[in-house]
Amino acid sequence: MDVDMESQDTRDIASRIVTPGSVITNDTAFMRGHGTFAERTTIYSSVAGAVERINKLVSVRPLKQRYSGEIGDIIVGRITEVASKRWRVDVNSRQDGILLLSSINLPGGIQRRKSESDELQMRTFFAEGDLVFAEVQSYFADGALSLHTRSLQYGKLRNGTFVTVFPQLVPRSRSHFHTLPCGVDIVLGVNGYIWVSKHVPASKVEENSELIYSDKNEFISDDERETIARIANCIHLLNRLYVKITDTSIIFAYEASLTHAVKDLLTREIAIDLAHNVKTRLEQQS
Amino acid sequence: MSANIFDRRRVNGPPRSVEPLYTDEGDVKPFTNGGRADGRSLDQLRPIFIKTGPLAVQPTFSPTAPSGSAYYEQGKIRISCAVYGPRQGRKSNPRMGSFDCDFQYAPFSCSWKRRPHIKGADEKEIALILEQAMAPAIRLEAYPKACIDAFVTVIESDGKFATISAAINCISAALADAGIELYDIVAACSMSLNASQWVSDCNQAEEDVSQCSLFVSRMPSADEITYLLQQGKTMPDQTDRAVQTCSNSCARVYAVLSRYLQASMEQPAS
Repeated sequence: MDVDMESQDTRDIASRIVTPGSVITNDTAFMRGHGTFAERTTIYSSVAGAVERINKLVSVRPLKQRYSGEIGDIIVGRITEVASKRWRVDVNSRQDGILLLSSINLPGGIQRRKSESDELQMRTFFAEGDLVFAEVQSYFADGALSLHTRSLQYGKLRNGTFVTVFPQLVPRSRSHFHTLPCGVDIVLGVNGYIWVSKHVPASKVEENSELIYSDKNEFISDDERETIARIANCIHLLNRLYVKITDTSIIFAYEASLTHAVKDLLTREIAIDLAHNVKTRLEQQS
Repeated sequence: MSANIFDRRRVNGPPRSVEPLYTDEGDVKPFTNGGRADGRSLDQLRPIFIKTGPLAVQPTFSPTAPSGSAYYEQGKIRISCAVYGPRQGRKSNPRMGSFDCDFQYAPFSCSWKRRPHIKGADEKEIALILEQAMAPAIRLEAYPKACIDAFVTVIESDGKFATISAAINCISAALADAGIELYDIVAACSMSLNASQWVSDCNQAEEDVSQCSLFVSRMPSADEITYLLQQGKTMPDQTDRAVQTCSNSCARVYAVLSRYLQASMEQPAS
């Protein structure tokens, strides 16, 4: 482990705040990672953020960054264009993702051949502006993400509201679809798009496969609407105060917020107070 | 005007009007007995104020909100800039990203005359200058097929060259705020030649009486000039001197920018 026997200079590399163009190290022992570039033997930072070091790999993590997909990520996207045999999907990334007609489940018959008539009625499945819950299947040659919705839990989103957060606040975890105890479903897309909706039992969709591509909301009572709005505001405030967004942190924020009216949740003092509350509870838990 | 012949097709002003009161600034000579009217020394810049993230829409942090933004003041100059991207663009180059810049004076931004809201030729020209000054600093090869857009709005301008260089500084801050990969922060500074003396960071009155103005935009840690624009006649050695002085001033602007960015990273705005 020669990494441990380094000079004072290289040991304080990590946890330093740098701006674009500042020298991170002159030491050739290091490899450059994300957020850095090398010129001759020197490694420079290319973004403003904190320097991180894992063994010999030096990278800079910016405060804000766009989502860069990985295979297997669960994401939420918005259809921007219906093209031939494919949909373009805004996934909060550098490029639009692509959802091929061949990688969706068609209603009726799981393994049915895609016919020409399916191509002609693509808008009945997903039209521009629809929100999709999908998984990253692979990359295209140019780095664009290829998505799929080949499972009954994926598909079109309805009955709820849309929230955008910093993508780096949503950690990758085993499950991204949660039913909260307050009767609200949330879909935490790792690309920073979150869907908060009324709870609809999965069995209901399984019984009636026509519901997968339905555009119609079910009846949502005033109480349910308020709970959805409260959860959405809780996610907003966690995002604003830079707290990790998981089902536990959302539940903590929700429980703490019950003493306030929904519309007051985003006022500065209450937001800071609630976020602090969530942070301490998360620390206690771990 | 009686009610029945009221002209509804036009905007009708009130029947009586009062002339506004103008503050009489008098005929201030920008350079009097060797000094400057605002009391600065010849190579002194106006004080700078920066803030990143003013245009992040809260609480509805929506997909239409810019990915980075900045507000910049330098003396009376006030500029805001919003950066969108990297995002999918209409034109896509499979090797490199593209950087586009849009520059606009607000209608009330120039004290001498009201600007039309339709972009003039000078605004398009400045947009091109900004694009060319910023593009070398952006790692466009890291963003193939993507598109980065910067929208600059001048809220108040004071000196054409000073405004362009302030716009460059503002875009730099907004790009860094957006987390876009840069080779370096671009810092810019302007200068004017008056009575064979170079004067840094001139305001409008000073630029008006100068025989030559120039601005330099620089990547200080890479030690490269990204853009140099001169308007007016000088001797070659005079330009040499000006570029040298401007480079030093750029380093000072750079220090301000990078110190601010570091501080803003340590204390993210709530």
